[in-house]
Amino acid sequence: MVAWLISLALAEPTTEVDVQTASSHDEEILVEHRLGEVSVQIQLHNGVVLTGHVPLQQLVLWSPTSIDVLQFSMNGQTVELQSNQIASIQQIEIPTDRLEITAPVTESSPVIDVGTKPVVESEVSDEYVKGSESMNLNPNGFSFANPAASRYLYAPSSIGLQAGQGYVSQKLLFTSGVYALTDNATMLVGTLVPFPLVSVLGAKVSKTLEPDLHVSAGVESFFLPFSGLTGDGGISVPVTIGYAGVTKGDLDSHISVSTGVIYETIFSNGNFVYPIMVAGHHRMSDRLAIVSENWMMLNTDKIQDGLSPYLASINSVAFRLIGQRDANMQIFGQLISDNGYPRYTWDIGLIVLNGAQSESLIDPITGETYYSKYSSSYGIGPLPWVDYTWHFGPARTEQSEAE
Amino acid sequence: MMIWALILGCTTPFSNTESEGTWVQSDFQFDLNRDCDMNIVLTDALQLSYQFGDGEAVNDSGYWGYSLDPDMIGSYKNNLWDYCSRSSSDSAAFTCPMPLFLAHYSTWKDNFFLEQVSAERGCQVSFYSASEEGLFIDQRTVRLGSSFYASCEIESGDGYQELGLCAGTVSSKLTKISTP
Repeated sequence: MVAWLISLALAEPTTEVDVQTASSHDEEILVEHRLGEVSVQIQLHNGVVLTGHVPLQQLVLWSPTSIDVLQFSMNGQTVELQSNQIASIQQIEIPTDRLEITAPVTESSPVIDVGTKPVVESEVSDEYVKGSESMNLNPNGFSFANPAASRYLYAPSSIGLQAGQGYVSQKLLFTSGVYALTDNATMLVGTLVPFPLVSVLGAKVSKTLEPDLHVSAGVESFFLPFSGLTGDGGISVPVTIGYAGVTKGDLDSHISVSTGVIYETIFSNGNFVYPIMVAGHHRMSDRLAIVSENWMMLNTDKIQDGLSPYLASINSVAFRLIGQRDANMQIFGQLISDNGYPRYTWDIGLIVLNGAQSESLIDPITGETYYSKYSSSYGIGPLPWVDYTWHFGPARTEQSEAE
Repeated sequence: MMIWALILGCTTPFSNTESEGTWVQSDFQFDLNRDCDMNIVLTDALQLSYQFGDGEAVNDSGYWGYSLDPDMIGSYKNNLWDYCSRSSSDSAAFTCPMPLFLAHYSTWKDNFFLEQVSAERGCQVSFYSASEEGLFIDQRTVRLGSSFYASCEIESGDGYQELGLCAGTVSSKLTKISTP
């Protein structure tokens, strides 16, 4: 099993497809296709600079606030760029000996700046930048974008998925699915298997403030779908979490800090617990990353009784065997991406639960909760953590993935 | 991990020695049926005291049938650990099969509503469904919460007839006044 997982981490794609190398036949097709297109250099908000072509008609009609996407072509591939991804567009000069048709370029080609300068004059790029040799598809030098940057072992990061992307994850006995409704909003459903005694519904919104700074907020409710069969007829919602977080870093290496409030009715008549979560992800190679997720639960009600607010902590560390999303929408169930990489990601690690148990008594008359100053510690683990996640939905290009 | 170790190192497990000494009950609060006014019965002035530790043996003959005869449990106040129990040896919480103040029944029963009914109508006072939960808050304070159902019954041709009822919940606290 271990050898198999190691081989997964180190495996090369089973079908090597170099999307950055175009044959001469392809170049002919590209040249033909570029009729009516303009050669441009586009800088994204994440700092990535792309050189390729966009249709002249789209470029003329495009504006920083436009909701229409820009069809950007490069090396035979076409991707759609959202306006909010684009920091600037610069028309560039393409040597005529390389292409039959080029966009007209002057020494003062217009630059459309999404920021405070809608149109400024800029220098023409006098260096022709084209092709896979000089194009940095991943700022950290990896072969493909990390498809699992939006999550740690359980908790999400503030890096959002793009619209249409999602994944199905199997964490021990818990199955969950996440789907991005938009570039900024994802929804979560999950349940225990094979018996769906505990289920979860959630949603998260995220926003990229700067190329390496992301914020998010969300809510998750754990409920007992069959509680109505034995209880008062309603569905019990014993735990609800509301959170907000910030993530610093790029898709490959990032750290997140989140906090929020947990309302639980499992251990009390209704209690607020305040979690603090610190997590990190560092990609070490194309297929291997290390992930750590750490929680601390605090009950601030105990502070007024002169007691420590500490309730419990969860620490985990895992190796992540990274898979890949396809460039296009895939058929459900396909396990290998177009480039031959697995479309699934494994998390394999250890998790430890520690806590301090301080007993309490609810006054039957006043309803006030009294906490004992006596407490005892407990620890569970380390326990194995195994997560299998299958990615679906259209992959972003490397550049837009980083956005 | 160092941070977690430091935090966990601050925990203070409960030990049996914390309970040794003399404890006095006070701060009674009641939520009972209207007929049963315990505010004039159980007061701080009674200075009901208890001992935890190795006291007298439990007198199980205090139970008869499915109810409890409060006159038979007076010795419990000297040995609470013999009939109150904990889930583990380091637990600060305990439960008892009856409210502790029943161990002092002979002290306050003359003003108890059901005893007055018993004197007038010749019925038998019995406590059913009684229990108490306690928690050592710190070295000198224990919080208590109890519930009980008591009635004064008399045997009639159709079985037992309930002539008086006293039921509800009570909260109070114990304060340690001396150590052995």
